[in-house]
Amino acid sequence: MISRLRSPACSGPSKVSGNSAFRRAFRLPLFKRAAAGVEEEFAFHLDMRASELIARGWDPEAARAEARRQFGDVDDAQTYCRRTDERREKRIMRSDFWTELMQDIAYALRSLRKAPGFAMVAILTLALGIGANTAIFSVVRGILLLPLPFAQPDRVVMVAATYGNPKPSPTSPANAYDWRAQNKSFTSMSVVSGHSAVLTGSGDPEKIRGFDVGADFFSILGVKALHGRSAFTPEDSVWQGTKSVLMSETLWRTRFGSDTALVGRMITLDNERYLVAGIIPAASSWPANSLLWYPFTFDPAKLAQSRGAVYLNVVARLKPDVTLATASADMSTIAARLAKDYPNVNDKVGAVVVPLQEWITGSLRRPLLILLGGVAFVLLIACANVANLLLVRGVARAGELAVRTALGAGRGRLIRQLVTESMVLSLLGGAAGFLLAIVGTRLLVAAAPASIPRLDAIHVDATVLAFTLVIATVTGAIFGLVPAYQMVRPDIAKTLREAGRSGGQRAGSHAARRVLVVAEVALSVMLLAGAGLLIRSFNSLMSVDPGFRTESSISFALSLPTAKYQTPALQAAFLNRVMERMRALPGVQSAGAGFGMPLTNFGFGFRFTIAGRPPLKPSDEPDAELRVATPDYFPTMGIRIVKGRGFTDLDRAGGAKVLLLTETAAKKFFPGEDPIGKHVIFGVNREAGPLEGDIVGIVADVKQSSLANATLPQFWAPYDQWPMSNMNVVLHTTRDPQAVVADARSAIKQLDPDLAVAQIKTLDAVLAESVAQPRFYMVLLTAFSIVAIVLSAIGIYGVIAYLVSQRSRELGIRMALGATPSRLVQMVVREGVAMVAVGVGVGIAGALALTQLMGALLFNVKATDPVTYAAVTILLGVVALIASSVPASRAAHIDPAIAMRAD
Amino acid sequence: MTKTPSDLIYGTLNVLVLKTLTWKPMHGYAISNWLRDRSGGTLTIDDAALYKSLHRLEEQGAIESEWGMSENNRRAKYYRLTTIGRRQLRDERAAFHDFALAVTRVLRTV
Repeated sequence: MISRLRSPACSGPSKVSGNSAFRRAFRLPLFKRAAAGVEEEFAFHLDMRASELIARGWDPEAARAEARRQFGDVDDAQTYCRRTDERREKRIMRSDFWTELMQDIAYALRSLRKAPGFAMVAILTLALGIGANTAIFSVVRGILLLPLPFAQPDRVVMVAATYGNPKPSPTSPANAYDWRAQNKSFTSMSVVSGHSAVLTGSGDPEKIRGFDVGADFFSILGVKALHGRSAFTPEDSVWQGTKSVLMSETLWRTRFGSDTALVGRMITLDNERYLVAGIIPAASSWPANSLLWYPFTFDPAKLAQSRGAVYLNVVARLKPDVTLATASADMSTIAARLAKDYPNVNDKVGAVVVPLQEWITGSLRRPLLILLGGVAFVLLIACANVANLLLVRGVARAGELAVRTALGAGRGRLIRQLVTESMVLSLLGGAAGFLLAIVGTRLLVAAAPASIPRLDAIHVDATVLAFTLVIATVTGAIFGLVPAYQMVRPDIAKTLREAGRSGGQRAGSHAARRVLVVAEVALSVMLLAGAGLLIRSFNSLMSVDPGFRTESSISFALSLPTAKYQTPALQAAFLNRVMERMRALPGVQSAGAGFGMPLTNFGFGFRFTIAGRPPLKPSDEPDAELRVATPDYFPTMGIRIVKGRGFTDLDRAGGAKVLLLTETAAKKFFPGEDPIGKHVIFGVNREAGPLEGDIVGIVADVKQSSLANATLPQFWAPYDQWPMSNMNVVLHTTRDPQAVVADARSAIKQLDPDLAVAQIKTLDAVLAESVAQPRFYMVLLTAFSIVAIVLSAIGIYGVIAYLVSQRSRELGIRMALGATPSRLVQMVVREGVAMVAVGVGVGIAGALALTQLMGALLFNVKATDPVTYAAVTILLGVVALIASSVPASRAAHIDPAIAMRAD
Repeated sequence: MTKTPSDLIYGTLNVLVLKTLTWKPMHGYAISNWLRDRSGGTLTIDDAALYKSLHRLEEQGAIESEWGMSENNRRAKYYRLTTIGRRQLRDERAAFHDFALAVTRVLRTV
């Protein structure tokens, strides 16, 4: 085999064969050599000339002088010749380098072709590792690293209120106005508040997500309009001013066919006419998925009483010379002043400044970095595996390398060639990995929960390609250098002697192999522990009772424009007609309507007083979530009535005012008391007076924001007494809910063709979406650990199989001496299990340290969860047993006669 | 391409060196002597210029060098003509003939 491979390390480049041996022998240092060569050449000439003259009878002294005279300017010529030689040498070295590199690459490709199985496994392993890393990197880069699509995005911040804890929260209109008037840190400040409306007049009615913002909102972001203007005029921004909107390029393209004449025209939103003032580029649209922006206005007459109504987010741009810390200090001062000025409501209210990027992606930083770390582990395991493969392969080539060393190939040269082979492998793996990453990134973005921001910023581009190249190169260096060093030991004679025998492997590389397997197992354990903890967390999350039934149920949002349904009575009358039609639909078992869906992070807290108790300072009054529902809502949602009664058709407008409360609210506000019969008054500003009523029943808790979050105390008011314009209709069905919803839609269209049926979702989907992020992280980390464990199993298998083949003579002798096959199997398996045991030990220690970082990702599971660690240990034990018993059973079938003759 | 007188002399030396090496590989001292003998003493070659020419030609790939033993058993640097050098000699010899002919023709007309 050796003779058929033309090894570049043995035969030099044929083009310059004449002096190549000389050049090789005296390769370095170049400049000294050039100078010495010229000097010797000239000395020879001068000596020869001088002795010629001496032979003709010159005096030696005079002869030497004459020789120099005849020569001319010796020093000048010497300098000239030396420079010329140096230039030539450098050029030759450079071209030698490339020639040798090309030869090494060609040689590497040839020898990979000769071992297609090895090449396939190695390249596939690397492709998996590099591809997964590239895909996750492109996601992390898009979400965390790329700057936001605004001008100087690091100057854009959110200003938020705090209420007794550090969590940044919304603020009230009055406080927002005061912040803006009093701050010295920001060029401008704008509120951001949700505002959805139904668009009619061009195609089907459609509910469009939008936001109320300040007049200079887009100049804070530094975004210019595509057409028209990007700011509101003073006339737009005053209370009951001109109605105008800014439209996202996305809506403009999909709904209005990119018609530039749309700017300056009117569109109908919630039955009112709005002027389209400008088109905002899609890439810079913010908040995410926003399609319309309205000027934020507030009734100045009501501003003073609005200080307690907190629902506004605030965005601002830092002045050029102001730091985040300065701005934070400024806002704290203002908050302290407002607390003093309005102690009743602002008592415990602080203010914080958060960079916008952190505001948007802060919660994703940790999970994404954990995923990145996990996928890096996969790559390290892949490296260990390929290094192991190279070691095994190295045995077969030890003879070849020794022969070449004996023929004069330098150690450095051999290492270079082996490293080139590793690089060729890793770059091939990298190329395959990059293709995998392109597909993988698409899959990731498609599978990612919609609640993850900036998914549109994720692209596989030149930077990602550069990342792939870098990790492929580093990978090649990692898995290539160790075996290269192992193989190119100076001990040629020994290797040559042993090369013909299969036992020619040194103890050193056995150790290297074992260390690699231990490392692989340890890394797998850490990954598995992380994945295991996430799986346990997810299970305990899914075992949380949401408080409502999700099967065979579907919900949709219905909003009645106040321009058309002007009074609560009109709204109620219409919704009751809708509900009647819903109940009559075939396949509908029951139908109800409620304000806000559970598990959607939707809800408002209100302060209230309990009649008959001593009055409290407003900022000390208790607060609770308040929701509104029709009587059928509770049976439709499967929400249990715990005590007393639910709402009935008798709880109608004009009747006795009633309320329900949840178990948590009952426990919190009426400890040791029966809340039923108590009278509660909410300080909600309504034309009809405060929202109040007698408590008539206790209902089960419903998870409002997510399964993981604590349940907040909550009150329910009957819809007929407190009609709302935005309601979520829920249908509990006996047939496919999706089919029922089509009927529901046409029924509503008959009642009012301008209404939009939005957010159609089965309750199963609502539940699934609420856990989509933890599920996503769990699935990814689990996928990584499955890859890790498969790679580790291959690694363990490879090493044990190799050991068995190396020891076949010994095993044969043992068998001949009477060892039973099962004894031999035990012996081999024990070796594998011992390696794995060390790996598991190291891995568990590492996992205990690393899983501490998972913190908030875990739910009801400690990072030291013994069940997880036990499961991981058992799993790896089983894998080790299987992976080592397959080659071990081969040991049992060794024919002693053949094994002992093996060499 | 215009040739200045110094170029001409330089180029001439190159041709002479290449021509010398067509006989056999030689070291610099031998080339110097050989040129001196063959030109019957007409051409006095500056040895410094000769060595510059040798190293230059080697850089161009027209000749290559190897250390060997001289007649009196000293290490000496031997130069040998390469394929490139042979081609260069052929081209330059033709150019030199043309040049000499042209000069001769001009001189005759006066």
